[in-house]
Amino acid sequence: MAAGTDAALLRHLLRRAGFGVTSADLARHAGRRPEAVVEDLLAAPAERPALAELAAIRLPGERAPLDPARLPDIQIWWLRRMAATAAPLREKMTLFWHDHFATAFYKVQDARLMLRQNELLRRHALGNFRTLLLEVSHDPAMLIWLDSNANRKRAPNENYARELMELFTVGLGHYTEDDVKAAARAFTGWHCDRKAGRFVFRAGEHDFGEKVFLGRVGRWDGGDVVDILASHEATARFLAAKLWRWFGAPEPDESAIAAMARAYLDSRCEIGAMLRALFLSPAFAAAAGRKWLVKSPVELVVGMHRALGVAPDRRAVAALRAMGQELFNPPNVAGWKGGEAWLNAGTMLARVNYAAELVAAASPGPPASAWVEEALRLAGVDDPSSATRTALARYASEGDGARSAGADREAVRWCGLLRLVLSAPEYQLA
Amino acid sequence: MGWTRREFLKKAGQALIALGAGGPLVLVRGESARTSAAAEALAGLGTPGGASSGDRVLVVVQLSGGNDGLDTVIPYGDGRYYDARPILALPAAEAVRLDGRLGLHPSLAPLKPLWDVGKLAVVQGVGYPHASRSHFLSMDVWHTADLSGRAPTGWLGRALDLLAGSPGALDPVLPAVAMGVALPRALSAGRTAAVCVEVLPRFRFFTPPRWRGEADAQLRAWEEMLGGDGTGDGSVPEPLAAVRRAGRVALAGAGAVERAALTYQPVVRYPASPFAQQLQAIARILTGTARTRVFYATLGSFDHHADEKARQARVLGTLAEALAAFYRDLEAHGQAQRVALLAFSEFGRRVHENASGGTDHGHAGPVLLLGGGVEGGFHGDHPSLSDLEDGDLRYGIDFRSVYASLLEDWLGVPAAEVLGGRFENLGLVRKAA
Repeated sequence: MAAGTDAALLRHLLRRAGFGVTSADLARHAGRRPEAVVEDLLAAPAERPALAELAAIRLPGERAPLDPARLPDIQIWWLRRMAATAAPLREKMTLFWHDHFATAFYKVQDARLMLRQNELLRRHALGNFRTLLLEVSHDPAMLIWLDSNANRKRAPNENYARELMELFTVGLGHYTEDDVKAAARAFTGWHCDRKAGRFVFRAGEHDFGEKVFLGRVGRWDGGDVVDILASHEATARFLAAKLWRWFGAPEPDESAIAAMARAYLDSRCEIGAMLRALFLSPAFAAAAGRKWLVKSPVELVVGMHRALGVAPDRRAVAALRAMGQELFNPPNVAGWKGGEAWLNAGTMLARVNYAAELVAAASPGPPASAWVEEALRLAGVDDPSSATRTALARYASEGDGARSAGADREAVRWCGLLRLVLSAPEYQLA
Repeated sequence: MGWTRREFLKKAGQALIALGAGGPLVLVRGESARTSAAAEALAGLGTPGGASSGDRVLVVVQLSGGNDGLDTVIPYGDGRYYDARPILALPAAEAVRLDGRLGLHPSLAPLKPLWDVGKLAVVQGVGYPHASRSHFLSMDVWHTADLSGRAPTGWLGRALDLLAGSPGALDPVLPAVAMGVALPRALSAGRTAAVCVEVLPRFRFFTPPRWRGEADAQLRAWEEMLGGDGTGDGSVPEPLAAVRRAGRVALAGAGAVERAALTYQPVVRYPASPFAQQLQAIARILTGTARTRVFYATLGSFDHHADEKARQARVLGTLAEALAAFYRDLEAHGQAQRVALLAFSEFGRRVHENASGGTDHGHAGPVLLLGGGVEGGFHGDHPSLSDLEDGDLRYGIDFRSVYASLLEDWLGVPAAEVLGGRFENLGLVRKAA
């Protein structure tokens, strides 16, 4: 492979597996083979536990450190974690699982439990899916979200069973209403002690009887249902297709998805194996340099902060809401639609307006003659369209007239240029 | 302000003409609005009982999560209601009586005055065959009017595309507005771009005050980046083209919304709920536009698997207070005759309550319509509480018949073309003059 394509593939891999790529990232991995880089990304280093980190962050102008009991505080904590992390793939996968097992604060109403779920997702983000699914089925936030306490032997509640199959594992078309009823019975008694914030198995509420689930007969309980679903072929494909849409391209690629599903099943549900197959697939390499994925608001904002080297503050959280993505508060259990659904009039304005807020504090720039190139490089836009290049050049060099004058002028113009690069159509894509 | 209502309406009308809000606006700096077209188009605007279908506006309110019909329109006269719901059933004395057998949930009391003057319609037993109990699939069905839920466009989007083909029927810059951060699937269209607005005051290209001198230059630069198609780039890959399109719609929409909102004077006090704020923003925009034909708002959640009594009382209260304020506001601005509001949910809920003081996903449910041109009263029969289908109410009216009435009689588009088939026109609204 020619050196040029190596570098392009590396950039593509680092950009997709994380939240944008800085020159430092490129320098660190320069000349390495993709396989080695993928292993590094998967071997994410351990980071501080959330609670310890929250206690250590006190935002400028605030009197107390972040409080794990407050939604805005855990939102800003996670955003800052994503912007500073040395393990971008793990954080991105935590975000993926947050979307996949979408659980929302607006019903759970307990930030500590939402944070606990977040740590659970992070712990298993690159690990074993069966384990992750079993843990999620015991997670207090999930139990509250899908009304597990209402699921009782005499009156089973199908909410968890249905979403478990429709959205978390096999997907529509691979189960019947009877399977939903059977799964619901299997999970009866899997409750949450709200006061203690802990899973509790209420044997008196559990239906120990025989069930027929996906054609198999047995005295299944929740753990058995998890086993059957996690290792199901349809689950392998469902997860592979979803990961491909998230990291690869909006259109499915059968060869990549088949390879990913195979790797998952062969490794007995290892997420890392599936990701390895994805990142090393020919289809993924073929997509290098093609900006096909619309960045989600979180990816966009985290990328902006990483590019500028500025830690996010609460304004970033507010901006994310206007862009249509609130951490810990997805719109419903199906998560966020993603793709071009991120782009509407209101959210576009929110994106370009946040860029303005953010760069207001940018440090002074390079000599004016290098402005456009430097701004593009900072933002990681390596292939701007001629329309974008022309607009930026015109803005950077235009005579003053009514524009700002004086000593301030250079600083303001440089900031304005940064704002425009971060508002460029190319910057909205990964 | 000190204006009488009469003076205010007169001034608002003049302001509308001055802004040229009646005709298509072209967003190019320096070009003025087409005033003759505007004056002509305003002839039918806001005059009581005289709005032509060229002006009529449909506001769609989505009640997300599956609204419990039996806990909205109460069959207080039916013993089986009490048998099926020992905890949830409302005492007969609490129902706001509509007739000898049916009443509204007490939280909906603010809508009773509308019922009394014939401006509130309740369409009963609405659903569709082999209905899904999945929130997402069923909502997709209602949005696309396609029983597989897979059609690429929504019913409102298809209606707007048809209107776009008729000169002067649709504002090209602001054809439809959806409140919120996500475009509802119902509005996804082949050629018409609905505009999503989260919060009106923030809906514009913003430059911080300290960059005051840069504001115009920045806006121009962004516009230039958005207009990249066909300037020597060769073929533009689709995601990039989509981003540019969204940006162009945003800019044009922001300009149009800003102009439209100028003529609105707040005269009615709205409740503080986010839903009421959505409706007020809609009132604000529709008062200043003549060809923005569809608006969309969302309220949720109605998915009460547990603790339904308190939750339903709260959310229905939010709904009713906001709708009542909205209607009063429309009347105050002379808009009530040209607006019809449809409130729907993706399914109703099961007849029997569950063991957690809630209900599970069901099928048929009622749909509400309100507005100056609505044929008030009951449409269709209340589903039987004994002849159930696997524990669910049977539907008597296909939801596409509700759509057909609104498409044909209110928006003036051929329903069969939008719905892919013929559905009964239920006569829910007064036909256009």
